[in-house]
Amino acid sequence: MSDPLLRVHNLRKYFVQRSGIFKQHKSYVHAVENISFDIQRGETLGLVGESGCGKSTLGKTLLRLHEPDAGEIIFDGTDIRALSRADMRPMRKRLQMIFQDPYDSLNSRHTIGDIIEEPLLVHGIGSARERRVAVVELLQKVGLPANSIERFPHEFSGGQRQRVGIARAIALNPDFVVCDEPLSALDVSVQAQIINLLLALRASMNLSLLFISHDLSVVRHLSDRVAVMYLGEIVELAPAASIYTEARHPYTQYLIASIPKPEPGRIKPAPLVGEVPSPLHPPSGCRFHTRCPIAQDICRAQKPELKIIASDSAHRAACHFAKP
Amino acid sequence: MSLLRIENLNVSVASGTNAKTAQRWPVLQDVTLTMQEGETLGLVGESGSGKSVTALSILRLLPQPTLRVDSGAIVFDSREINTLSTAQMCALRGDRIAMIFQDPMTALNPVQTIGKQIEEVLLLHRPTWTGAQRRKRVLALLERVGMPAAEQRLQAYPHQLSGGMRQRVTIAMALACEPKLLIADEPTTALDVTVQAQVLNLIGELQQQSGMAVLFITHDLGVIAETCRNVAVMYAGRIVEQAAVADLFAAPRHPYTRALLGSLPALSANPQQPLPAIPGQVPDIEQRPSGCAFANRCSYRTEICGQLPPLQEIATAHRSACFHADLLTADFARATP
Repeated sequence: MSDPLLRVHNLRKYFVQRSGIFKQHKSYVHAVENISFDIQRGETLGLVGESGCGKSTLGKTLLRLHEPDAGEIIFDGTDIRALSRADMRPMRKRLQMIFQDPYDSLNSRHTIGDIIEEPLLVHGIGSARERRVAVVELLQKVGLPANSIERFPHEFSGGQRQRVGIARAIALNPDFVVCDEPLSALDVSVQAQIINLLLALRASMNLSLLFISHDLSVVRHLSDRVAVMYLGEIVELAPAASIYTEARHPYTQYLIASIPKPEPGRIKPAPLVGEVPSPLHPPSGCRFHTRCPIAQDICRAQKPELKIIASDSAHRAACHFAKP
Repeated sequence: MSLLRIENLNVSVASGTNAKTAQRWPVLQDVTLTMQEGETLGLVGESGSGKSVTALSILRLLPQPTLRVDSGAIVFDSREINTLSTAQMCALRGDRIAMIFQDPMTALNPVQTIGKQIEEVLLLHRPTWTGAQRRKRVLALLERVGMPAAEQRLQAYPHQLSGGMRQRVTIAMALACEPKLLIADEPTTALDVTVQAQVLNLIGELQQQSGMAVLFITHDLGVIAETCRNVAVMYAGRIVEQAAVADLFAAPRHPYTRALLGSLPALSANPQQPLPAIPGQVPDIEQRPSGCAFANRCSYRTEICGQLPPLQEIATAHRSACFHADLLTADFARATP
């Protein structure tokens, strides 16, 4: 296998929370804890987990929209964590993001043309006329009419706005795009249209994607591999084709079983007890042990490593009891 | 004898700020629904299809005069509730018909303890009860909805609870007077899947214990399949298909339902392949056609679709508003193995 486009090694991000009258008490939100993974060129890695598990923080930390506290982010051979602000700037052309909310992520006072042109302008690409041509091409690529250029975000539906957000993200011809829940604000029928658009763009531009979502069926549809996060850690990482049939971590198994499926009469699993513990004070040992149906003493004492558990070396799980 | 009967309900919305002079557009058109005692009916549709407006009309909670019931009858428990006085309606709401909302944070008062908020329902509807009786009932309700450490939580404020726990509180409020009908408007949309599974399970258990009917509003066909017995599909302000859940999922008889089911990235479908998406979008409320509203996105469209298809019984307890419902019979095989 060739060198991966992105290699993340032991990435960590904590947020400080201060309390008390003089803010003298410090505690740490363990948002991203020692995460390592690779993304190949043209590959899509799906990232699933419940709210607060750190998946969006991980996405933003990879792009240095949050500064990581420790670890390496090696993008195309360069550790971007070590770059200065000035050196990071040209790198940003190659790293882009699509946001969740197509209403909040577009400036309502700018025209669609201005919004899509902005990344080109910021990076000083082309003359005004060339940029204009580029914007028209981008609109066409994402399936919007050319006359959208003079219109404002409020004139568009949610799905169309998300197309604008996608056009802006691909304007600089990036190598890697973080998609942070790009479908969750959309209706089902529109969701399928945007999925198809992402599939087509990925193929034509050879994009690598980190696709963040809480919707497992969407993630499985788009991804080559899937990582499951729980309380700041990756608990399982496997090819998309096998994670749904051969999940090895009890949390992944439960997550898959609890998706409501359009199959009346299906036997539902008993709900998991309790709720996700606070990331301020994550449980000792395996972070899932407080809710895990098969937890033993070892799970409370010792943190399981993310290790290869199947004959397929691409399948890893962090559970003491995952069968090899 | 049905518990709830909605007949030819028409609701309109005023465009612009002055409701008197503004032009009005139809939001709901000829919505007809019947619910038996103890039934779970799912109402499914995309944003703007009129699901929530239907629910708010039943409770007469429409933001008047922007939204207005123009015609139609709503009969609950053999009483025509459209003609009730405001006071009579207040007595009904929260007592015989209760509702839970999508966002448990905005549904709760942030500056009151949850114990007080649940007790308020009883203060209003059980005026003869003593304080001790009310408090006993509040505690019993919190325990019934599975609130851990219920006694201590009486003094908790909404912000101290997680989303799932807040939704349990709103369910406790809704159940306070043992209503005959519970309207649940997207009760799990704001929750994570694992918490959603807990809350759906809870609603199902409570319904079995109490025998209340539940009108379950959601955009998620998976949730419908797992919670409801019957289902009505809405599109652009009309009910386009209505059937038992098993029949609808096995053999949808309206092109919209069929396309909606087809566009789901189900776990067993072909990954990485383009999904059969529905082209175009739902028509704006000002531009709804006089004929079938789905026609411009429909692959079965013919000339007759310029006319309005009536919602007709096409099989036992299965109704569809499509001229071509007969074509949509056997050829539907879902991609699931």
